[in-house]
Amino acid sequence: MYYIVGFTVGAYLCLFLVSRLLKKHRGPIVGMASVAFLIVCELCFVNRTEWHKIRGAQMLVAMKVISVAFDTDFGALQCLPSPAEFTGYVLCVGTCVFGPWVPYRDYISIFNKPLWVSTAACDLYPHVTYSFLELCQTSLRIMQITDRSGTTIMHLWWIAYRDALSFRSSHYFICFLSEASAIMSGFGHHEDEPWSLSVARPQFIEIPRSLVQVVVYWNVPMHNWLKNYVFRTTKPLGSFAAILSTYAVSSLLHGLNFQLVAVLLSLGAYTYVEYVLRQKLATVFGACIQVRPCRRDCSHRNKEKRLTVVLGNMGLGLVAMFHLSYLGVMFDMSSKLQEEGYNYAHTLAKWSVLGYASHWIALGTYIFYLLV
Amino acid sequence: MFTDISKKRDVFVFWPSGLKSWNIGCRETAFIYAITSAGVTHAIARACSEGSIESCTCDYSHQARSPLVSSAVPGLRDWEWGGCSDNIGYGFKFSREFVDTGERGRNLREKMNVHNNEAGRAHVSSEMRQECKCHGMSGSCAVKTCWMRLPNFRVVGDNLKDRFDGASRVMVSNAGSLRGQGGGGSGGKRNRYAFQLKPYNPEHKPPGTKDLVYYEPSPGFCERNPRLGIPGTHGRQCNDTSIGVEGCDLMCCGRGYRTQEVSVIQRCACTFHWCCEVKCSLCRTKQIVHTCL
Repeated sequence: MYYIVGFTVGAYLCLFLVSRLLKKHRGPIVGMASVAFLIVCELCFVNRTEWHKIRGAQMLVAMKVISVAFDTDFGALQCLPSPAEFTGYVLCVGTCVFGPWVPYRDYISIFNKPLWVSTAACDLYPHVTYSFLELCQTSLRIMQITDRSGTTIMHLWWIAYRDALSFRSSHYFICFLSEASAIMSGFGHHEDEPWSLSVARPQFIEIPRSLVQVVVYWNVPMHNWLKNYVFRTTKPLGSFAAILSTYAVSSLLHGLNFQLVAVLLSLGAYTYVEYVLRQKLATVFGACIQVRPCRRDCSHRNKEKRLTVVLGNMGLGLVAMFHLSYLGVMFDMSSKLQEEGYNYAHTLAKWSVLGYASHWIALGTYIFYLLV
Repeated sequence: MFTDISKKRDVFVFWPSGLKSWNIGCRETAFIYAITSAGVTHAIARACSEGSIESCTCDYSHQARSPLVSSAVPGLRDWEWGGCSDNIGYGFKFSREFVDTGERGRNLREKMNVHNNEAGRAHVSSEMRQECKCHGMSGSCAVKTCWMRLPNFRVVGDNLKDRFDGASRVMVSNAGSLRGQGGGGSGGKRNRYAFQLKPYNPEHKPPGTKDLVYYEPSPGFCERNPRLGIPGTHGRQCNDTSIGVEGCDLMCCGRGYRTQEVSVIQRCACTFHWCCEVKCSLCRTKQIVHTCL
């Protein structure tokens, strides 16, 4: 806990100093300072098991701090928040532990109309959370029962899918829990609509249209954060550099964990290849098979509802599911490693069992794109 | 078979009728009783948590209960977030009612059976392990869910085999004395577990809960004995490279063995065809077979 509080205090001091002395570039400087703090803590000071427990909370503090810095740069915030407001925002109970990242203005707005009364919609979410937990546990048990020993290719991929699915179920549990805690703290109020705060949407991840959609719906607030503060800032350097820097910042925030870095960078490469390939195919065939669903007024000849387009999207969706199984396979239940963070040897061992298939297929897809 | 416990006496047809050596209170009998009891406990506990049995569920007793309540297995930790633990408590209860039926504990043989059954059950419950899964942002460990898992039955079997090798012999004239406070035969079911057997050799320590006990020496298994249902080892196949019980030295009881070459028809060159069958052809191979004289 001391690390989290220490981080908050240190970040505020840094922000304050930069505001006083430089009055610009607060965002990048605070960003680099936060990342440096995280890396130094992980390498030097903290025990691995302890750090792995607070990794998520530290990442959230970093995101909030960097968002305030950039907002003052962009002018979205007129002036620097006072220490009390800043600490209240960063250490807000409802969003501190798992909680989704919320922008500073959302935090301020919950004080405008204090609604400390629990509404009916508010009560719904804890039930959703716990039902999800039961669902995840049941699906885990069902899958463990079907664990017959065997070394055929189909069996290996079934095991990979099962492990990846259990990892994703655990993620949905945490996201729904965070959604519940944030809503109960007063976030997510919309006029004339039921309370909602979208964090993860499993339906878009389990039956994906594309990997890009998976990445967006994996954690919607974090996607928004990356888009607003990293992608837009680095866009002038070119779109490939922007995408690369987005994934790089995401990896740095997650900490020095080879497994996560490997997964994120692989995802970055896959999403880039998928995006450009589907863009090209959409222009060649004039069909709605881009990574995102077409708007109603798109200029393609073959719209979303045609059978060939539906089949094409389903096929590409299956490829995305295959990549997801491959990337999620190593978050298994080997007990010591899961408490400390999986390491380099474990990752490569799991991927080599599957023959690095997904990487080869992505490479093949890229070559196909270059040839088409 | 397991859905209605009240009918247990009618369906208690456990023992294979050809094997009569269980009439003797020897080591092998002790092992048979222990492993059967352990098997029933293990199977029921596992089936409960898999949901195959209607009358029981997962074991939720570990989750954040009052520390004063005792559990079936002492020394296990409680936790806040729990998954589906294997229901060892129900397995114990069922095994006691089902396997210990008819063992009223009045004579030495019944006491020995009850003790060995308890030993089998104790081995299953003592090997239970905790498994956990971490949840958190991107695989970090902010929240852990834990549950208790039964051991692999092979581990239980190996432990019971070790106990078989070190089984305690108890005195025949032993009516046994009640453990703890004496007497007061209210004749309830609980009392049949409260006894202490005295060892044959007074210098040895009394058998513990997990030890196997016997009171008669084992009959020879080398020669045929129709009365006890022992087939003997004449003509049994043995392994000439092993030094264990399946090796030719021990199995043939020093009589020697005969080596023969026989041709055997086996499946070979199996290939997998998409999708999804396996086609094999039949090959004739020569194998070397050793049989006891």
